[in-house]
Amino acid sequence: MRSSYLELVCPAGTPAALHAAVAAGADTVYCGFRDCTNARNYPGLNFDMDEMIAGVTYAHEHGCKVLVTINTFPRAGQEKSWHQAVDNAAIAGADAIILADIGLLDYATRSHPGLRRHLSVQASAANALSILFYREHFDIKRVVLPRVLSIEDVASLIQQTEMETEVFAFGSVGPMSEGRCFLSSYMTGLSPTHEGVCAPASHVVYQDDNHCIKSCLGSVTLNKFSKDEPAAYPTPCKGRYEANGRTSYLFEEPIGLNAVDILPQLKAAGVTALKIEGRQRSRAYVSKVVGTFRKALDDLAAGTQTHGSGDLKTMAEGGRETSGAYKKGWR
Amino acid sequence: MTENQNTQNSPAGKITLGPLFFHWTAEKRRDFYFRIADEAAIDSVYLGEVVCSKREIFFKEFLPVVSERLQKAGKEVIVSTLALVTSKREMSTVSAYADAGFMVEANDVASLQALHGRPHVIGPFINVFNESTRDYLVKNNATRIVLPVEMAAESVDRLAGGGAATEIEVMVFGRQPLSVAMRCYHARAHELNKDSCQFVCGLDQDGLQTNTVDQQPILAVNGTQTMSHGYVVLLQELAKLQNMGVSHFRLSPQDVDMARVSHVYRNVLDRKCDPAEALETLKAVTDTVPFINGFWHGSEGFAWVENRA
Amino acid sequence: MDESRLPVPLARVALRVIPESVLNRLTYLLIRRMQKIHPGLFQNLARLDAATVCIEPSDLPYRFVLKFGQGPTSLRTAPRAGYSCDAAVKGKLESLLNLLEGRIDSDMMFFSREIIITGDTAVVVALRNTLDREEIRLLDDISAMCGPVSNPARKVIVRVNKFMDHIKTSMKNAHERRYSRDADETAAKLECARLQEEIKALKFRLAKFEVRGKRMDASAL
Repeated sequence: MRSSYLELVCPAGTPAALHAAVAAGADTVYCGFRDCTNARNYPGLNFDMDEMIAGVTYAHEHGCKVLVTINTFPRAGQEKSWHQAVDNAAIAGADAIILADIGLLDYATRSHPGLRRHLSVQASAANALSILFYREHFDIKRVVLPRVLSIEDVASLIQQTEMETEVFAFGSVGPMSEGRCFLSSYMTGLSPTHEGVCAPASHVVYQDDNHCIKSCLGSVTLNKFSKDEPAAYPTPCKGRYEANGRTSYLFEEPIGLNAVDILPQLKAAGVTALKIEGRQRSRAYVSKVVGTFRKALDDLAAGTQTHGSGDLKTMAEGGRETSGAYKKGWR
Repeated sequence: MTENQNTQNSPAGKITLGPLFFHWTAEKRRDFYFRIADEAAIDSVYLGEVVCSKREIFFKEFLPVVSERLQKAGKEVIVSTLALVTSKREMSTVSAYADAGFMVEANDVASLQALHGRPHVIGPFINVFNESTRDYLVKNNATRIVLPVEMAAESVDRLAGGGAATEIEVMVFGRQPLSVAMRCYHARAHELNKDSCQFVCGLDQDGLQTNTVDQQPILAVNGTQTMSHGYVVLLQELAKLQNMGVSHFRLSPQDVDMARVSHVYRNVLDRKCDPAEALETLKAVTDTVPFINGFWHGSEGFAWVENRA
Repeated sequence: MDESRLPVPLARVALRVIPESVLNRLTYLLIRRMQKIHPGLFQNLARLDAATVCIEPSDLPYRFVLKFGQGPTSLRTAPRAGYSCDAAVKGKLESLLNLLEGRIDSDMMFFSREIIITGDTAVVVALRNTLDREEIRLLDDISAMCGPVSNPARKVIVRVNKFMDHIKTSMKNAHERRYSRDADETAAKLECARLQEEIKALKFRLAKFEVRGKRMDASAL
């Protein structure tokens, strides 16, 4: 049954977004606690313990599963907060936890053997051997695949490991191997691996500079663009740089990932679940994107034609879309 | 200075030469390692391709002769493996090294699986940020752990001290690797792509300088890898590192006189040279590339923080 | 069409004619009313670091200052000059209201540059995330504030909304009829895509030559 059904996994940055995701047709939502134990630790976002319990209850009442993301790497000497998060997820009744750190996986395996463990994209497991390591050692039930793989790679991985996989269907194009990128801390001194924030808003500054906007991360200029040019997130990998005498988007353009057009291929590859990124986005985004994917998946299941991705373009980063690494030639 | 006292009490520490990140010609590499064998104050040498599997074939034929020469010179040889493994071909390379009985530096969890618990080194591309992860990997037979470049002094102190049942290695010289990717940025900078890259990464023997739009040199691109523009230099901090229990000090190969660099570090580790003086000597070797040490001091990685010791 | 929406043109006209002192009295009442309807929102706002955000509707003569965090929340008009806030959000009144009510995604407005953020980005992100936790219907809050006249007022507003939507739709249709060149456009788009591909291929070949040249230069040295 599961194999022919693509599960839609949706972001919930706030309780309101969780409600919106459930209403728009999510099969599963994922969310995190209001601290540095998850990779979207933005001010005003995420769930405290009361909200988590209420969120899980609400989702379960509506036939929706909840995954709790605890995917940053505990800092030496401060592991207790991460252990607490794992314990709290278990208490709140989460259906699974999403982890990346080997030490934390070990803790969860020993302390809560019955709580399903998923391997986060932050663990950067991009090959069969790595996935088997995590399965043998920590009995992980699902792996979230890095965004650096083509559809052929994804299919081959599933064949080799026979593992449940979750792949990104909408969100950012992550050009770097995730969980192992130190560019943001190189520029700000704050580490995404521990603090859970890439390009922290506290270090982002926009300067209005005569018909031109300059975006800075800390003291580093990331980009200069004219006022009618589309903008990207102010992360180091989406900046303009000068190399070899040319100024360009050296790492990645301001463009979003949208896999709605390749759902049949992903399904054929044997993917279990599709992940919509965007816990930092608004509930308007959640409603719109989840709704669109719900419809596309229902059409796919019914064997009717999916109508293109046209309406999601405005939601995508930079107002443009790509199918990213899924298609060869991207790299 | 209480020089004599220090010499007696402090553990000296071993100097290692990390894997070469850049795409040098096979002959240049061979000559480079011969010189290391003959002249450098280095105890262990890591050989092998970490950045891009497409480069692997170029050096293969020289690998036996280079490792033999290094071992004859009394140096430990360790084989470093790829930092990002994705294809079946790359997996079989990793497995082949693991099965051949070499001491392997695992840079992707794939290597750990291929090693099946045989003794190995954990490279800086596997995240070891806390005690639990360290202890788990030690139980899995890691005999040495090279800490991630991002780590600050406080965390190093916790991981190197407190009865760590493993050797701890920290990178103290060279461009810091900041990210690995599937995409080749070197090829992109030349408007090519990875599959038709023409090996343009070979054009920049020390990395391709990358500036911000305000002309500030900030990064260095090396194929699929992104590095710091400046060289990390932990010379003034060496004594602290030694006292924390760090046992191995990694120099990452750059296109400079690495044998001389090794002696500068050796002298400071042995308290034969004052760090401030050593810094001046090092500047003469490395030319115009700025020095950085921000991560160690918990600030921006590209920063240089003067030591207040 | 959504009938519970505040009619922006009406609001814009009203805001232009209401004297500043009255406006300040109204915003004070509105915040007080909202505190009763959305206690959670104000608790969450109080949890944030203290900050002031200048809200600048580009089509109004006023700017507003929103003060929140570590104390009571307030909204009032800003002095015309010489007042500095931690951050500023600029955009059309309609965009700002949509943002407040969570109808539209702020990142999307940011990507398309419909709203512009200056100053301390962290403050704006915190405010946005906190507002987004709450379902706000400004029209309901305002009509609740009007007491017994709220129902008739609501009816008028709904009618205005319908009328505005009707005008918008017919203008849009007229515009589309006038400029319907779909067929030409498709052909032009295809041609563009073909040319782009061709340019890409040429650039690619040129790049290879360049690399060859560089390599020869390097070996000549």
